[in-house]
Amino acid sequence: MSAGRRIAVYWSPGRSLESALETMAQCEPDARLCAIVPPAYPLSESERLLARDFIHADEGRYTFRHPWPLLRWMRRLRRERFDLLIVLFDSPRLIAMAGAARPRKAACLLPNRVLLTVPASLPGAMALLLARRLKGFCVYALIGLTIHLSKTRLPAIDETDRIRKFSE
Amino acid sequence: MRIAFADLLFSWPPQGGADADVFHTCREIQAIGHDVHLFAAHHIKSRERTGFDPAALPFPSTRLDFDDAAMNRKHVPARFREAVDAWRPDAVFFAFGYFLKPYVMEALAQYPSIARFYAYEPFCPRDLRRFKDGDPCPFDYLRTPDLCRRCALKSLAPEIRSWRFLAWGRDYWAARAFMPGYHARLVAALRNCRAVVVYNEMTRRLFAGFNENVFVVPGGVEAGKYTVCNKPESRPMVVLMTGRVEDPVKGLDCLVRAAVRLRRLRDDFEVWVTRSDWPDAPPGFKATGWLTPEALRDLYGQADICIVPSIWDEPFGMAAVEAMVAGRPVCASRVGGLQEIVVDGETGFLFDREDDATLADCMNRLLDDAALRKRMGMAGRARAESEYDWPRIVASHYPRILERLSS
Repeated sequence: MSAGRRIAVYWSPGRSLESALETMAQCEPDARLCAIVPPAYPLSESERLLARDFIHADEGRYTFRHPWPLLRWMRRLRRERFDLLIVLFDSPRLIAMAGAARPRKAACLLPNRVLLTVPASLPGAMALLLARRLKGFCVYALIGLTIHLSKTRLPAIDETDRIRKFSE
Repeated sequence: MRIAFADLLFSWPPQGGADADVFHTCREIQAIGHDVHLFAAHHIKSRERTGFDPAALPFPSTRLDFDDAAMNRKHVPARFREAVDAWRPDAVFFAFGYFLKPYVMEALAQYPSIARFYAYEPFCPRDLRRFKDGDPCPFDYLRTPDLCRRCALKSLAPEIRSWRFLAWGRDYWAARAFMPGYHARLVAALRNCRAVVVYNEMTRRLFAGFNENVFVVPGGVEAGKYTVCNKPESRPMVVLMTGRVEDPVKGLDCLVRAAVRLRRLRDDFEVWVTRSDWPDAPPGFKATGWLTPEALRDLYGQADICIVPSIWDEPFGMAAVEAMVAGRPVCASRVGGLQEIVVDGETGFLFDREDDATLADCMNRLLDDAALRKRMGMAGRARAESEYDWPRIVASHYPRILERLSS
């Protein structure tokens, strides 16, 4: 079923790329794996063996007023038409990137090999991030109120003798 | 004695010093004749923890799986209580955990217990480091809870606002650690323990007033897996920094400053660091990438000197012990547990936090003198074998701690 599937794994710091490539090679032995890594990424021997293609993740420097390098990079990813794009953390930046790359499917691979589906379109990714942010702001306000309106009752601590004893 | 180990974050293969510590402590306590059983929580949607396969461990273990909904202050203690009660232990050893740990300690309060702390978990709800704005923090949650609650919220704000948690933030929310009542629960849990085990003297002193039976037990290495290879004299010499060097508290900036300073005097050395990418590395610096434990052991063999320039109060300092057991001299900053590992002038040199000038001097001295490097490396190896080999650690520290359980 998986013959010919192109699966891309977007790098993250640490040894996560290698283990993600190993996991995907085991789960989908016939798929063609592609690693998206920064230009100076020191590839390990097994990363070289596991991935058939390498793409340099080179977003370049972009700003809100000068988004062209980012848009070029997104266009490049879209042209690849991945069947599955895997990110290794579900950070807002990576979710938005996975959505903007418009693969057939996008997922976040957790360290314990669980694949969490994430939106494979930019509007879907934006909706997910917005919903999370809304919930986050409400909870943050609730915690802030709790902390600023309540005071912790301290237990009686006679430290002087004990500190002396501990210092001996 | 039947000892149940309760851990809320255990992963194997290890994802940090705490996992290795739990593994070896269980194994060696079993080896000295006690029955042990590890009960460990695994959050199945964890973004950091891989969990473990109970069949792959050399001692009995039970993995308690939790999904998002069950990873909270009610279900987690209840599952632990149920599992531990069924095994009927004589005592419980509370291993690694963040904010949910006091709830589990409370649920198992009827057993004589030991609590192990691996960093500054009870003292810093911000990030367990007691390190803020580039300096060690003078406050601690047990004594200044309201101040620390505000600091923690400020630090966790990005995680909470984006509703995307790592384990620390998720535990903070799951345990409702921002509530004023959490402090009393933590203090009660600490006071109920028969013994508390920590990594260094500084942490021991912090427990004053909350538990009087605090024992310092270092972490360790498997000394047998390391061989001391006599590196042939070759240029350039290699100065190595290992560990999570991307983390600013590990002090890579200090090493860079020291190396740049030293390059004005000599250029016969390279600095290798274990980070995955370093596009703007200064000349003479090299990123080795992340390495497997085997590859890391080989890397120590290629190094001439190892540097541990941490700027936070490292609770232990595994990188220093690994370098010592590999027979390499260590230059380490005078912080936390590191200053208890490296014997200044004998197994390496100690320098003050962020003092790149002294670090450059120490490096220069060692790079100049092959005999000194060899002598310090051998002294480090001997110290690591006698003080930091796992069977020795458990045999020399735990019998008197376990005595507290039966007293």
